[in-house]
Amino acid sequence: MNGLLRLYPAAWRDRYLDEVSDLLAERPPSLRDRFDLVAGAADAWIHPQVAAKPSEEDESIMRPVGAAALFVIGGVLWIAGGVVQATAPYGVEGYKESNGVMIVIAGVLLTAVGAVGRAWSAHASPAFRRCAKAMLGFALVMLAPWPILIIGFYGYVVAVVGFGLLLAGSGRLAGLLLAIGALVATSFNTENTMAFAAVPLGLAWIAVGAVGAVRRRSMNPAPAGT
Amino acid sequence: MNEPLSQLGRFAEPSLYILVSLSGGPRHGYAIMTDVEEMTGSPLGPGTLYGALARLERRGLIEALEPEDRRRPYRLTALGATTLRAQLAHLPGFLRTGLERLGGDLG
Repeated sequence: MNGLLRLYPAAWRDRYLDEVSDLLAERPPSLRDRFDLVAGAADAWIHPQVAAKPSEEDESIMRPVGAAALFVIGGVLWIAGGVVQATAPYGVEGYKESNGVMIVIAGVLLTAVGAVGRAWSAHASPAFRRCAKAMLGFALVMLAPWPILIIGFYGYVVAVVGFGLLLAGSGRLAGLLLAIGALVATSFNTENTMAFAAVPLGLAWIAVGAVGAVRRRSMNPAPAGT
Repeated sequence: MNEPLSQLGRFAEPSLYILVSLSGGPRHGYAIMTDVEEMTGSPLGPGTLYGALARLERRGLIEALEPEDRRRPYRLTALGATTLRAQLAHLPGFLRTGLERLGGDLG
């Protein structure tokens, strides 16, 4: 499959992928054609002309709107935690002192639960499930005392990068924001204003949740080959 | 329902080209693309082509036939033919007005 066709919604690809792939094999795309495909993908998301098949409706253990709510609330907590921590006064030891980290951990747990809930479907790819399970596992590790919780934090962030890239690879562009947000979050530091690095990931989770709530169908990347 | 193509926004012009192409018989995407390029001198991009095909199909102006390998031909429906006639009927007057204002004629 031409990589640009992955940018299109799953329902569009189900309907047109074979034809367009054949066309592109017959006539390799010029640079202008590539831009045209990207614009076409944006149009297909904004003005969908192809309805999703009933089989694509939710089959996960968690309803799309439930997971979307967890992603949005979790994203808000990521932002709130980062802002609270970054704007807290410096204590006597020269570090920021607040409960912002606890708020971030709550955001980590909610988003991880949402991810597992959405990924636990017969149609989800094994890689997607693994990322979701890793997120939840590392989120639980974050409940351990310092410094073990750091392992949980970085493990969670790496798993979110994978989760986001899998979403992006299956045409959910918000997944790309999630992967980028998670990479930025690796700079998160509770001791100074770098706690603001939590904000982009929070915004990305809200974007993923908003897309899921609007579309209200499975956001699970299908197994390879479909 | 005979919805004017102008409602298709930026896909209106490509859609007209596609309908004209299919008025000559069923064609698949690549054949439409080359036919339009021969008619207009400029190719339709693949994203534009399938954006327009999806809109035309959804509005019942064209219909997809059974795939031949991975190619799926499309053909004009009766509604599509009616719509195309209505669109083309406007063009001579439009052309005449333009040429008159330029001081030319239709030859």
